[in-house]
Amino acid sequence: MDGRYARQERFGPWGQAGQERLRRAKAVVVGIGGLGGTAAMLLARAGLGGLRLVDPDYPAWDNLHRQVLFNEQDVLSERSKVEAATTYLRSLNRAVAVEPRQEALQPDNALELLAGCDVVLDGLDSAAARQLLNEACLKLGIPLVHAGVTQAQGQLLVVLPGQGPCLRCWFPRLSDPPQGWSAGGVIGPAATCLASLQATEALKLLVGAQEQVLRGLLAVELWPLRFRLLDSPGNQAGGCPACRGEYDLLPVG
Amino acid sequence: MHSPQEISVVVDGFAERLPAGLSLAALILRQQAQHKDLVVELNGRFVHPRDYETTLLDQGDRVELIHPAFGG
Repeated sequence: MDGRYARQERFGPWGQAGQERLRRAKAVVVGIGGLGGTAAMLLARAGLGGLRLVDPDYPAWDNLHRQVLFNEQDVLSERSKVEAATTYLRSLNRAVAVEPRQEALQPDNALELLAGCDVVLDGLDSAAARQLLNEACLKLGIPLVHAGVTQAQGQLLVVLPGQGPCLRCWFPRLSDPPQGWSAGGVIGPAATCLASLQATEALKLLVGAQEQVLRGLLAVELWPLRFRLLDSPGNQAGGCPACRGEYDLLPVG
Repeated sequence: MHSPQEISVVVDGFAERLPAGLSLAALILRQQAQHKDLVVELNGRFVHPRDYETTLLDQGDRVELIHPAFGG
């Protein structure tokens, strides 16, 4: 495996020191579909030490255009997403400790599912679950790298608990449209684009380059192509109930 | 030339002529951007949804309307 990481170590801000930090770090990816699956793949290839995968679902035919962890055989064999993903990620990099958890994020398991990790990647598919994830990260003090995608657009946000606005600061009335997102359209490159940006932000945190992490909300539109960065002064940590420790979704205590 | 009843506002990068005194809430309706979790930035500052009704647009304002995406 000599030289396996040589090319990324030659990237100055990363270096061998960053690689060593990465080898000792652990991330949890919550939802391993189009966003989380791609991000998990990039983290495993980069040489992350530990990767916990959380997802209750099974691969389906309408996942395959964007969910890079799964193939036709996975759909036919009816293996769970986390099981198929674990096999694939271990084949990419046997040094990564992959921990599959076939569970949905719930108020009663959220803290346990995230505990002990250095960063959380949001690959969920609903606003309601994201609000829970946001609360859990704030409570545990773990950085959250949020991305969302639909159609050919999405957004990216890094929540550093206590150091900047959280998901709820940006989306005070966070809720799902009546029809839900799962039925909505999405193109593969939109999901993998947002996931690449998401993985990059997580890697900055994990190799020790926190000062380079995205500040503000990045809105990405691919069709037509447009990137907008909202770096709003006035939207600060402590601006919402969740930032102040008033959790609506986590159990009391 | 603008009539006194009109102002020029840049919405999502495009110049729009809008009635003077239009609120952000009215602009959002006008743009058919009705998702309740829209993120709005006015002249580079985040505007909380509770302030949409009371925030009135001025000549030369720049507004960004971001439609959130919550699929994965």
